[in-house]
Amino acid sequence: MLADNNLDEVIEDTEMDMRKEIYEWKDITSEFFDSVEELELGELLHHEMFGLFEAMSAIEMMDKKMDIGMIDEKEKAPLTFEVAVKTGQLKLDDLQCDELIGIYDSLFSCLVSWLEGHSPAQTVFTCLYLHDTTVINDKYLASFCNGILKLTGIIRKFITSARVYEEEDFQPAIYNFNLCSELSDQKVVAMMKEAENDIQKKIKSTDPADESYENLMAVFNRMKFTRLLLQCLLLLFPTKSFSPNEMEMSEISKLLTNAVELVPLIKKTISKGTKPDDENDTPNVMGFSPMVNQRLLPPTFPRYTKIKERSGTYNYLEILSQNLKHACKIINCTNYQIALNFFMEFSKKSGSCLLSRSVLQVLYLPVPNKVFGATNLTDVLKDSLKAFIAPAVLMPKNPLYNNPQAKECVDSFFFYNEHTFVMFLEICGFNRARQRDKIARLLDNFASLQDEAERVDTFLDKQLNGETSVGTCRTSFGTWVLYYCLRAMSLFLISGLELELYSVHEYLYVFWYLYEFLFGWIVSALTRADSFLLEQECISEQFKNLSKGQKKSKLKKKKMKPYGRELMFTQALQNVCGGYYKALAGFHKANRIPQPLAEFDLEQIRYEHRFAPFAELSTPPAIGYNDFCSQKWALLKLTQEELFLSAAKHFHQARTILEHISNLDAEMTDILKIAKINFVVMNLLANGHKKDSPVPPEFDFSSHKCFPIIKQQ
Amino acid sequence: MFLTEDIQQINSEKLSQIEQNQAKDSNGRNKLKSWLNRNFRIEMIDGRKLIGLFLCTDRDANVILGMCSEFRSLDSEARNLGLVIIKKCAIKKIEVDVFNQGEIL
Repeated sequence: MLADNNLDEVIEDTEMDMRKEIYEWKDITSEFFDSVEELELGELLHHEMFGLFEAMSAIEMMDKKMDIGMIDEKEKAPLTFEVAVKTGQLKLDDLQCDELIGIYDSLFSCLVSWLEGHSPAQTVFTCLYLHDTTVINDKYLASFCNGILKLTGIIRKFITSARVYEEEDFQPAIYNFNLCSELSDQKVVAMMKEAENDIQKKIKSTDPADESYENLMAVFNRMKFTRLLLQCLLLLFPTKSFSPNEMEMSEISKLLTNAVELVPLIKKTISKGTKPDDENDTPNVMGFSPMVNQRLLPPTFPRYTKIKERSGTYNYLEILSQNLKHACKIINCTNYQIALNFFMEFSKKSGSCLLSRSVLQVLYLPVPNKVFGATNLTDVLKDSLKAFIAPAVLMPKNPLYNNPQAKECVDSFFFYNEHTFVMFLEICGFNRARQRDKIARLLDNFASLQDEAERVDTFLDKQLNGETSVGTCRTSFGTWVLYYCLRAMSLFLISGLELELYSVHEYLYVFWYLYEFLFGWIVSALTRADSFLLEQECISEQFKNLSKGQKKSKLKKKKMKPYGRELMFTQALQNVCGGYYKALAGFHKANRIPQPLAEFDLEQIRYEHRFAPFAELSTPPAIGYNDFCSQKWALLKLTQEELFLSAAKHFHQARTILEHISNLDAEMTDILKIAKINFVVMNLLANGHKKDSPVPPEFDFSSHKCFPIIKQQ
Repeated sequence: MFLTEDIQQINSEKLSQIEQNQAKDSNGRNKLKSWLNRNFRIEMIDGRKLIGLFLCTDRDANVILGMCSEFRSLDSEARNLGLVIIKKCAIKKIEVDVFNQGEIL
């Protein structure tokens, strides 16, 4: 007997014709339930290919959280767009100001919730108005909704082009929703502008004392903010793979400034809008149906999404606009080193969201190998290398510059290694936790990059043999690459502090590594480059003077060292880390660092795990656990007072260096403050304060994510 | 990682236990075995029907179906769920496909 109920016909219609859908069903319900009774308690009856491990990834049906397709008797079927329009639950004409404000605000709440990683089907597209904006007769609502659709589109375009997100950051799928593709971007912006002008006219004819005046202003500000944000993003997106030029950028910056100024006004009027319904999680009383797209979601999705509340939403948008404005400044970073620093700073900023990070990525490299779409990345890298250490082969006055073999060698070096530098920039765009993960893998690339840089240096050195090699740094490529490698390594270690991965008993070797090696090596790489650049300059100055026949040298005029600031800051950080290292040694000596239970303790394994990514590198060499032990024992020969005193000296040194840097930025100011406080604490401890207290020290990361204030109770 | 090892260990323990039980292999157990890897259609208490391969069960009649599709009476479209577990309390009716007798895997 062939099954002939409607279900089987249904199956034949579906795309799953992999299994030929002819079934013949036999009811075994009671037979089955009787049979399982014979199994032992805890026994699994299963196919040999199937085990408990596979079973764990199964979705539990009829579980409220896991089974999003569940039909709950108590839950009404979700309101759909068609039904809402037919039954008049969706108002399409003459919306009141409070209704508009309510819808606007909840739409932004949904948009921001999407940007924070939720699915658009559970956020933006729960707004029924967005399902078909053409039926909305109210001009203000229609233009706003179209604006939101276009915003959704351009945001998605930025984020998917930059590709610096992971599944926890962003859901790109928009499930065939129409993002207002029938209207051009310009048309939508023009419509919004027109609606704005309309409201403005109304505002002008209203008495400012009247209550409606404030409501109209609130609607107007929201419309304007949306239009400005949309316009900026549209302008920022590269046209024909060219990023906006400086003039366009300053225009965009102005628009963003206007947008930022509107946010406080908008926040003040949130209460003017209709409120969300507390009982059923809907973002607004009208226009939203949270479960409407439930069937579109993959089976493992969470059933409910908490939509961000309104004031938090506008805080987010305010920071976003500020960050976008800051990102525009990348246009001034033509040098790779400066650009990388910019990227790193940007990602460190609190509230640097995925969208702003993506915009930054797209602006700098709209196509993978062209900076701003205009200059070849290779040329930018060459210029950066030249500015870093002025290798002979890149100096036009040097005979090596015209040597075809040398040129070829350099070109192929860049051709094959450019991607590592691109990768480094890309990594800065990811969220902080993923960055650490990816840096560990980037270091593998650096291992081969370092080899090749050394090979280039050797080759060039050979070519130079016999020729005048005055003022040539023999390891210019190597030093340059080493600098970036060290930056990556220190970022890796420091990010562990920020992500709170290390236990207090591990701080000792983390700070030791930073102090003794990484920061020290960065300082020496920068010093080498610096002194070499100065030397170069002297030579060319002398050369000039000679040719002009002047005997008086002008060399005495003090030149600003090119890396002065970075060099000093790194030295300060090195001393800060030195301070922590000595302080921790002091606490160790005093037995005040809680150690893990002996049965779980094998320090060598933890050490090797922490520094595992460094093991691949040959330059700089990884420092093994034995080295750490011998240095630690040597240090621990000192008394705890001596150790604390030495820590105080380091903090003092850091403070002195920082005080010599002009125009401290926010981070430097924080570190200066931390160094000052730690200096005082260390001095107290060195003088025997609370000497016999068994209480472990506290590390307070509230002032800086990576460098704590040490507190001793 | 530890988890995997643990589970493998549990699995192997289970297997040996089952081997011991083989001697007293009963009628019901044989029946269940004959159904393994066959298509099941399970109707749930909320009216949805699931079609998938019967992979695993236990004494409490927790059923695991692989390559499972969900059908609703209202809309015609199947929705692919993959691996699912259905508790006894959610099951209204179980049917086995007797047309495709041969093993699919």
